[in-house]
Amino acid sequence: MATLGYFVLLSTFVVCSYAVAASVAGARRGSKRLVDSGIGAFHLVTALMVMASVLMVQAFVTDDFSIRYVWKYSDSVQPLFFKITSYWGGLDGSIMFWVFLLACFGSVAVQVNRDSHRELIPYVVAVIAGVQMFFLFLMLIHNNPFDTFLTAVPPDGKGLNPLLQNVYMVIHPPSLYIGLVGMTIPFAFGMAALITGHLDDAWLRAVRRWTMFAWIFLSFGLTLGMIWAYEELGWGGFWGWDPVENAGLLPWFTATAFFHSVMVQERRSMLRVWNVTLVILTFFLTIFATFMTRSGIVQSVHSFGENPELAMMFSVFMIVVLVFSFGLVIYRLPLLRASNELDSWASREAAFLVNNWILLFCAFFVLFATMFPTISEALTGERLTVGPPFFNRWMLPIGLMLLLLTGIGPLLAWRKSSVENLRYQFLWPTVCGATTAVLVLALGVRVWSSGICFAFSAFVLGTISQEFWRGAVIRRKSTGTDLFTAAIGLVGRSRRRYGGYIVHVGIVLMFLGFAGQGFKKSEQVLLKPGQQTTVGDYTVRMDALRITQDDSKQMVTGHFTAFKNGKEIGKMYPARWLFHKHEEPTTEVAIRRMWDEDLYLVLPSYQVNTQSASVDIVVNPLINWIWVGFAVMAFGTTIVLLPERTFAFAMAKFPAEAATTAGMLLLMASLAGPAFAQHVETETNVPLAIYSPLERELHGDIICMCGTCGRKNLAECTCSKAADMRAEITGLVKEGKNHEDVIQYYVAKYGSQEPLASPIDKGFNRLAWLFPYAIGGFGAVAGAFVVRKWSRRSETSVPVLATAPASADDAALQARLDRELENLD
Amino acid sequence: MMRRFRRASTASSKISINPLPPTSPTSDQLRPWQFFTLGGLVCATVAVFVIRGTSAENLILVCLGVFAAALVGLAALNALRPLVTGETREPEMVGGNTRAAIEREKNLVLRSIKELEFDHAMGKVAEGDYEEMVGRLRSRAVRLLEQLDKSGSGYREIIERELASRLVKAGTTSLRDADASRQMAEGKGQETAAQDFSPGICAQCGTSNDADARFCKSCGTKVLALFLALFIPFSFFLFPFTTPAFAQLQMPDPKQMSGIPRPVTDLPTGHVSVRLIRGQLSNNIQGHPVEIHAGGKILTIKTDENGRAQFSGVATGTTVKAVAVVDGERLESQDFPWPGDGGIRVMLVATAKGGEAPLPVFQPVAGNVMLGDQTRVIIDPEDGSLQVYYILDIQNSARAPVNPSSAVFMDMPTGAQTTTILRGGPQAVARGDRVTVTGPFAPGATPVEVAYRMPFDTGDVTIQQTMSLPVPGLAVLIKKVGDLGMTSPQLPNVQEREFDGERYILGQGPAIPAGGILTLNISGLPHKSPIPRRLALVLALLMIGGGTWAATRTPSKSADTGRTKQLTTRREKLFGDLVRLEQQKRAGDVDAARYAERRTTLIAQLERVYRDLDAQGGQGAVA
Repeated sequence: MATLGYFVLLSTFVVCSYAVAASVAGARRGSKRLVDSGIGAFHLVTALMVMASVLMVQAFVTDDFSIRYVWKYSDSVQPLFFKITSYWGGLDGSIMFWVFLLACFGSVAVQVNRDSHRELIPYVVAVIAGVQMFFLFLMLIHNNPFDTFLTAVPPDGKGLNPLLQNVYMVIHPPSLYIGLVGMTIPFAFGMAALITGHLDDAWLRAVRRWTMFAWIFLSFGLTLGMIWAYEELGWGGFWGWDPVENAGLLPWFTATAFFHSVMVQERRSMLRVWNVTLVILTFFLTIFATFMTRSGIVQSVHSFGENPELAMMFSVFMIVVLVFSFGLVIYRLPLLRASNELDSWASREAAFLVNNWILLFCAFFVLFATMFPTISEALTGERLTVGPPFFNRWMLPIGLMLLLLTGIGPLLAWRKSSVENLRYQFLWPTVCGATTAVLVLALGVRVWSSGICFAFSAFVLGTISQEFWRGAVIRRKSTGTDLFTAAIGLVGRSRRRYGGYIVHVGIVLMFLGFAGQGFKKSEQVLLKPGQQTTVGDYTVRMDALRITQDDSKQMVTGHFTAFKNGKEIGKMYPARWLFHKHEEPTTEVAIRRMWDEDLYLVLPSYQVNTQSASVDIVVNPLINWIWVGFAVMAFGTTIVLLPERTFAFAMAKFPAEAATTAGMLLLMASLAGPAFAQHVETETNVPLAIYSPLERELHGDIICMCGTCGRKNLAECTCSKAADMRAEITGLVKEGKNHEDVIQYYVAKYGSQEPLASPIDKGFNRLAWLFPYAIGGFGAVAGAFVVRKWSRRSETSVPVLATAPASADDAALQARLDRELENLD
Repeated sequence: MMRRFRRASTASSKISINPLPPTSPTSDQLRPWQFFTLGGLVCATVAVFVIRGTSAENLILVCLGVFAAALVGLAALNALRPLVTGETREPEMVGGNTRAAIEREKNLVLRSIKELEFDHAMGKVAEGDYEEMVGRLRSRAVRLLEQLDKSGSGYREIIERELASRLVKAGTTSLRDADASRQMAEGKGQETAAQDFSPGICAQCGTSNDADARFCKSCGTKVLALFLALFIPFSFFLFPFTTPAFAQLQMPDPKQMSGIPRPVTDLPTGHVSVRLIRGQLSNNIQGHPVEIHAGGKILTIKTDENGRAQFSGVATGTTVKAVAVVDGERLESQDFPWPGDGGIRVMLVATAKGGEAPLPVFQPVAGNVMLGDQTRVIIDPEDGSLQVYYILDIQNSARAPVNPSSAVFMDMPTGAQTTTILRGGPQAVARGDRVTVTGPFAPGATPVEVAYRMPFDTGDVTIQQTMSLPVPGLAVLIKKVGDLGMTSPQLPNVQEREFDGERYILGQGPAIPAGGILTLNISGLPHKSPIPRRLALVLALLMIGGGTWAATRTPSKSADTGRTKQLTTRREKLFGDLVRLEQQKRAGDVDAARYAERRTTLIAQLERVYRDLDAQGGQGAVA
């Protein structure tokens, strides 16, 4: 089986090379035979990868431990579901899975666009097959997933890492891969357009849906990663700016920028170079993300370990991609000239420009901050940590700006907005935002950053509601239906616009969830059975500590009862699982989900003999809005992606879907559970360890050095090492040491700035602090330069004729056009 | 004859760019996809019958595998067919573009007009801007409508006229019939659309296993205990007088493993775990500080409940050592570089309390040592490498400790990798390929065990080991795998033996003097042939090279003439097919749907031929 699999991969590599050669030669020589044969070979690659994948899954299912990859990531007691999903659990298999997905997407994209973009297809085939060749080359030279044991075959496998034996982690990687792999299709079409010189908007239309499809899967993958981190890692948060998480986020930023700027090209024939550049950057960042995860260049809980050979091969490939693609852009610059100019800053296109600048800033900032430890180590020999505080400092204001733009953009007109127009559009959203701001101030909510976030969210929701309302009113007038039907018809007819607004609603909900983190409460306390403690409105009582066992693990479970305002809300069972085949125990958190907040319990350590357990109690306000927000985003994206002909069907089904969504929300609300009156034993209350403001500040500025928690700061990490370090800080503060002294103590103790969450703003590290300003300044200068150039062109440009002179034939055609336009409704 | 696949599209404003399923236009013969589906079904049935009795999921996967193979067959056929038969897939053309592309473009322009009208109604576009933008879009839409309408008057019209005249010539129909059949066809068309060497201790997870364990009880990795278990029965006939040192092999003394760095893959990259025990593996020392000395810096971490302290944060390659002071006893590891790939585990073993009585102290004297008759070499063939173990029995025959004039060196053979001291440290140290054992040597035996990895690409390996000390007799033991064989000029007595159901090759030989070379020629090692991979790479290079050559070579003038002739011949052939099709239709030999489909395909091909002929020199219109 392994030999067959290996030969299938070898054949795929050869067929790929044939697909590249035949397509390019066919296109250059005008030979339809060769082009058709190349396309056939391209589909053959897909068929071969399907076969290789079936062989790999079969090897896992039949416990073929003669294959090293199977031995490493599976064992005989592993549930069937995890056996199948182990296919993409490791490095070699994930590369193969990557090629498999790319082959499937490529085949579908080529088949769908074969006639409508005939001139581009040979080069699309060549580019995708070229990328496939690279990944197949990696497998043949370095990471053969079908590599076998030649001498002794182990009787059983090592088993999948317990942390990955989680349903979110099973869906998370393929979802991310679909997102990352899917971005190859727009790149291939972009390259084909550049090669052939067919640089009108046709190629953009071919790739818009693909980019959106890949984007929603990327978003889904990132959200699943957040849920996994939240539920499995047990630190009470969901996003720790881990390098590998960031790697998936980078192409997300550029792809989001692309959706917005592509509208400018379609409407105004502007930003053509920019759109090609975004497509290239997005693809490059997907490869870079893969490189970061697989080369071990960054330290992460997710990475597959250091692999210099792989790093070298990826580096060469990335250089080739950059040189080839940007070389083509430069070659085709004359054809990419914009045919319109920016008329006013108070216009939709200007809002999109600012949106693009912010998203690109985010991408470059995250890329730089993620790579800074590696750059610093290479240049100064000192390994640093660029932790969440550094990221949050910059990303928070940027995120809020982006949120505000989400509300402003739809209100602006294309080309230019008059003062009257602005007043008409902005009045109600501004009223919504201002009212919320006043309310927030009156309630005493912190202005920065949660208060501002709430006000901006209200502004954006105001904008979207206004768009729906006004649109429905206009449609009602034109169709004569009721308002509700008109609103649904509106979404059906302008799926892209109103689907996009629904995505924006999802973004607002996610931002509300992020803002809720500002009110998070987290405490750690040591409890014995019968003892209880109170955090916010919640009281948690420990009932028992029990040890149970199954085939693969020993489970130490804490039995707790949770109360809210004195009423019992349910039993909770945080646990530590010790797998027989893996040294590191896993944390099984207990979460009590409610619509407004989560009660989250973790069991970081325990003493069996004394029956005591230390428990982390976290109250996470609004966190579920993040997941609901994603669901709304997915719903909006689905509307955008719906094909034309499904509209009628979707219309018929819409009320049912609305009911389902409402049902889901009700279900979440009902998760609060029944409330019973409960007497709280105050005499057994255990006071919480109260930290001074300096200690809390230090907990945020110093990271846990256990090496396995993903460099979380001490305020968030729940491992025993973090607890020791917190105790150490308390000791140091008691000794009279100030913030600077403690920082210096840790720098001296570990011999570097590694324990610090942000590098000290001194020497080479100042670069980390200067970079965001530099990139911001560069963006402003570049923007000013472009606008100035456009303005000059504007002065010399000749007005475009609105319509050609009408002839008799033309009048008939115009009448026919009007009929067709009417029929579109 | 293989029939082509096609995609139908519409003639006018109805949007219909969806592919039709591949069909054969004029005959009822088996189509390729049907053939492969049937083949897949038959093979899957046979496969299920053959492997009946296995699990349901296996049966499903075997069936899926069979269908995947059928898919490969179908795809391969589709890739080769255009080359062999010259038949290509022809979409319907309108001017230089496919009809599908123009339909799509028109639809998008119409949508843009609607969007703009809506924006205007919402008050988002100024009146003047709206007029200009909508005017531009409407002009574009009108041009596209015109373009679509031209499909009836361009090449197609010429073709229809030519067909009608040919049909008249053929005497089968009147012009009016031909026109009616064309209209019907159009109507139909509209509707379609690193290794561990510690005895018994697992390299992967550090678990201590039973002495006879072949694989780690925790993670399944092969462990050295196999050789110890294997070696014991052999030692009885090899060496009748088992030494105390050998007895220690059966129950390894953790103290012997103290301070030896062990590269592992189960730790995060760049992490070092130091385990602190007292006397026995089961006796962890908890909460005790352990230091890592990295140059001038010292990192200190207390051990956890497993006696482990895990360090990170030292630059890769920095030479470090682990240090702990337990009850006044200073424990130090060997110096080792900070790992850049995987992690390192080190164990520091403190002397058990109330344990061994202190040995009487003798002052070392000058003297020499030699290798005893317990010296042997054990070789374990693994995938792509040999694990070679030297069990060196360094003998001091004097009553007092001996301090040789220079340390005992032993250079590992060329090609040896990851030389590690398994036993005998810290007296024995491995630096690179050189193992150095420094005195003084206690009276009796000083056991030293060294391991290294010897990688191989082909089935034959030669190991040449220079013996720095004289050996009175040597035994080499290698596990027999496949056709493995061993010869050596120094080991005249080579024989195969069986133990516990497995075969081993045992070589024995006479004394080797100091400076003598032990040569082991090992053949028949299981290895992967690099030929398939090289062949694939060469083929791929040839393909790309050939493609580049073909792409850069421009067709010559004479080729143009040939091409014109070829196109004219093809035009005639297509007209012949079209006339036959009309005749079949008239005779009722072909149903309406297939007729319409085939007709559209043939006309699309003719349109392309006409256009190509035009491109060659304007002979298209002259039929």
